[in-house]
Amino acid sequence: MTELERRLDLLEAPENQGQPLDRTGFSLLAVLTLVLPVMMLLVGQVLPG
Amino acid sequence: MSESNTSSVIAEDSLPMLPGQRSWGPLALFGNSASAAVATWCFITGGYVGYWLPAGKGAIAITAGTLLGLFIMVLAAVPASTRYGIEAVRSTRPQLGVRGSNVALVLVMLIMAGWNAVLTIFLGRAAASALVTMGFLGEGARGAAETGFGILGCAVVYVLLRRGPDTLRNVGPAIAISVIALSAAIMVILVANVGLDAIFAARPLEPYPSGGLNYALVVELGIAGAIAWWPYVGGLTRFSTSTRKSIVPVVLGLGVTMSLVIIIGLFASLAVPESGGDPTAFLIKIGGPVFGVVALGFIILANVGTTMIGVYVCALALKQVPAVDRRVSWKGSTALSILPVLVILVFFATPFMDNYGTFLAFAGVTLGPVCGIQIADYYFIRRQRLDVRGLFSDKPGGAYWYFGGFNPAGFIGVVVGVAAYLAFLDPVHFIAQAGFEFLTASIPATAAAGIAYWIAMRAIPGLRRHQNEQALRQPA
Repeated sequence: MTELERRLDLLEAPENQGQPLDRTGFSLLAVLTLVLPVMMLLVGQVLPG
Repeated sequence: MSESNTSSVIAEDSLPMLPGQRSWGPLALFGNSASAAVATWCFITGGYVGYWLPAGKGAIAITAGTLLGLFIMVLAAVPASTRYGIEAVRSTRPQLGVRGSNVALVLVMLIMAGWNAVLTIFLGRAAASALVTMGFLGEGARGAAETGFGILGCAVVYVLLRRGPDTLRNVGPAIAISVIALSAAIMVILVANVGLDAIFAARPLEPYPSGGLNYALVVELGIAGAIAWWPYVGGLTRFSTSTRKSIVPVVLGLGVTMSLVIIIGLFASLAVPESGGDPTAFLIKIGGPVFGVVALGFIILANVGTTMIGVYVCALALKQVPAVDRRVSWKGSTALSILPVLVILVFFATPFMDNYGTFLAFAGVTLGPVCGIQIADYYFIRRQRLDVRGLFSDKPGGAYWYFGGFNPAGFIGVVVGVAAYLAFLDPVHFIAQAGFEFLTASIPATAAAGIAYWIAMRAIPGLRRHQNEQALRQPA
């Protein structure tokens, strides 16, 4: 068995995979990179210039 | 061999990383993200912002745009990398096919070679300029010094990377902290000498008549700049085991840190219009050699740090080609990744920089649609589950072989996305069309690519069969 095959066998088991993006992670991402910048853009719109 | 000892060897080749081999914590991820993000190109971007918007509005627009771009890029690049320990090019196999992902490889190689060339040319020019301004070099030696510093930067990057990515874990945070401290020092010196009131009172240098267009152009600059980190982030987050835990380090490292340095460039361009956003010459003029050392330290650390990560990502992408992986060592792959940079630096530096805008446009136009098809595929078609064996199968019959090794849906999606981008903005001449002020160009391009991909995957019978077969193979 090659090293690649060994590793693929291991990675097929969910417990050997990294964690997927869950609701908490998505919410965190959405707040930091969607809600916050949209609010910033709205504030920026009313600034002079 | 202990696990920590093997991690470097494993990460150097094309194999997927197991969770136990991924040793990066939040600090290493933040440090390398920040180290990758901060370079003198941030000053140039800040200089562009200064053409269109004043200080307050420009700072808000570029930061918000960068964060919006990160939403797209993180969604596309991070989850597959953290879940399966793969880098960016390998993660495109489900969308483009086994052979089709070679197109992504060529795209990454071209973009990374271009970015690395830009960085080393900036490094050479800025370092030579600093030494000339401080009086350590004559004007006649400027050209040779520019090339010499660029070559020296490439040599340092090779030496740092030849032992593998463990160097990134150790050196990245140190470079990031130094660069952030030097950035803060430059900001303080700039504000103390020019005055915050003067900076905020300064008018943009060459704004368009439409305020909305100026605002949207800066937001687009931020979005496209963040999306351009797609190859970098896929290569870095494979060292982390959790998508959620990767979000804050990446957003802080890439988004916040880069925005802060761009804002320095914006302030410099407004306070000293002839600087084009680069405050180093100005700092040396007002502060002499002491400030010159600060500026020079920033230039060297920031550009070498970013080039180091760029070359690492490029070498890793190269190792995804089975023939290269078998025949070329990690050192060889690193050297091959630096070679085109050296060729551009030595022979084509001036013509390359004359076409810098076209290069930026190429990167911006292509990577948004790639992110779009990845998001549509990973979340709405695969439901965050990939066939890990299929990702590494190069033979017909694998999960991602499709038609002759190509997935037509991926190419349809990318073409539709590129067309959508060009329908909203001519990125070479910055000529905007209707709707750009409200939608920008990268956001509709990403969305159009994703929607077209999803429709094509559903509409083309052979592709629907592939999805059904994969669903049967996957554990619930």
